[in-house]
Amino acid sequence: MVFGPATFCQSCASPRLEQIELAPDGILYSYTIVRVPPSGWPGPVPYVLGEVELPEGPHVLAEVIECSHDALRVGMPMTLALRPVAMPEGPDSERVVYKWRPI
Amino acid sequence: MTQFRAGRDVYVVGVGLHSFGRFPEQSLSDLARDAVVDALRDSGVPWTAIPVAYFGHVYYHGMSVGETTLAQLGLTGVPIINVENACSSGSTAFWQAYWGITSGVFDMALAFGAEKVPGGPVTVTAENSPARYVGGDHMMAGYALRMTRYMEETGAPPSAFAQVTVKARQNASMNPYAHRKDTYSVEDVLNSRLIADPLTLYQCCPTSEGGAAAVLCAGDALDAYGIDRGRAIRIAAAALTSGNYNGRGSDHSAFSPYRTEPAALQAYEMAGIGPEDVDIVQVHDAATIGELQQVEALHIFPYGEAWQATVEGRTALTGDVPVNTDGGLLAMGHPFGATGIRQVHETVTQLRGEAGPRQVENPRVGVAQCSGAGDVTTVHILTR
Repeated sequence: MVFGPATFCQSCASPRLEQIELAPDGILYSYTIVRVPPSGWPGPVPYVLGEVELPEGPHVLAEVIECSHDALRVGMPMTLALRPVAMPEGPDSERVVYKWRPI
Repeated sequence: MTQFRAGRDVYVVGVGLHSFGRFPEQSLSDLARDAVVDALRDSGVPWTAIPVAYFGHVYYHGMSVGETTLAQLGLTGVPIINVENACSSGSTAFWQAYWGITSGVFDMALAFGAEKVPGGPVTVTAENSPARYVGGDHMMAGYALRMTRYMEETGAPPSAFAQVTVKARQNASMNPYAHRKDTYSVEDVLNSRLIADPLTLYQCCPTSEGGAAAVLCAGDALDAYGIDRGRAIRIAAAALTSGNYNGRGSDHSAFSPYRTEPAALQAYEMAGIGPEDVDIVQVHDAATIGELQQVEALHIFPYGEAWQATVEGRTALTGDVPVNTDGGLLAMGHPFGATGIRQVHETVTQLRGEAGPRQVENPRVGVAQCSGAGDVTTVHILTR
């Protein structure tokens, strides 16, 4: 299984890939509170970065929102949250970005 | 599956460094040139005898910087190859120099590298990459995710990670080339400001500038070049691997054996030795957690036990397997093009018995490991 766009399977190099829908829920595998952001980060600081393990296997890294820092625990359930994010190019350049929030 | 076939024995016959730190008055070429001149002087070989050169660097300073740097020593018409392989750019240049000689193409080669890393968090993607606004492109955040997981699985306390920095600074205080030479206590490290929890500032390598160089020579050409065999250090193995995809997408696990382990096993096989034979180790400690993960992936300690070994002092200069004897990335900083060759410089200096106050007692086998984006890993084994 490959998470994200792919032309070939990265494990066996097969071109015969099919798209499947992954579960929107998973568990928090690891997290960090980023105090010093990298260049290009369009959101508030600090922000929480979480790696969520999906039941199908893949791990997906994204911002964790709507969760107090004290409540963060490895293993807590998370669900997908789609949010518009303004890009540095201006107000008309919004993109929908995937994030995680606690269930 | 073994896909390499080494040929002639290859030796490191000269090493050189430009100090690591901040040098606003000096160009990338200045840093690289000074390291090369130092390495050539150490080897006793004149620049005009070098038949090929490999130059590691990452950030853009114009095209063909390897060529314009070496032009300062004289135009000799030899092939000069500019190498970019992320944090492993320097060690990849060294790897190429080794394979160029062992294969029989060249009798001698120069590997050198330099970098001027800008301040702030290091990112790996292009500026318009989705990873920038999704939030995942942040080197130290990646290490923090691994550290959270490592603490969860091993129960390692924050003070064990801080001890990695304490040791690095102690070693660097005896190294005139180090960027950061002042020493810290465990409390100093834990009380420095948070970068990405639980990583504090002093657990992250500084952004630095520096240069490093090494002259390599075939064993059967040492006498022809008048090289002192007593100071020549043999390269017993040179391994380079890239990502071996595990199907998980993002992976910041406590133990990531698929990343460093394949290069380590390849190197041990090539050298005909095992981890139990290793006397000194230089690993990619861009953050404290990095050192623990890398020495475990090299099988120096079992998975999950490097933190305990660190607390017990086993990785200190006086321990049974000293790690990052010159201060590592945590004290030297990490100029990508130079780091891998800087590790070779330290290994050679230790194996020659020329490390002065930080000299380890009688080391015979040294390992140098460097990681990079793309899950690149180099592992070099040097022996006396």
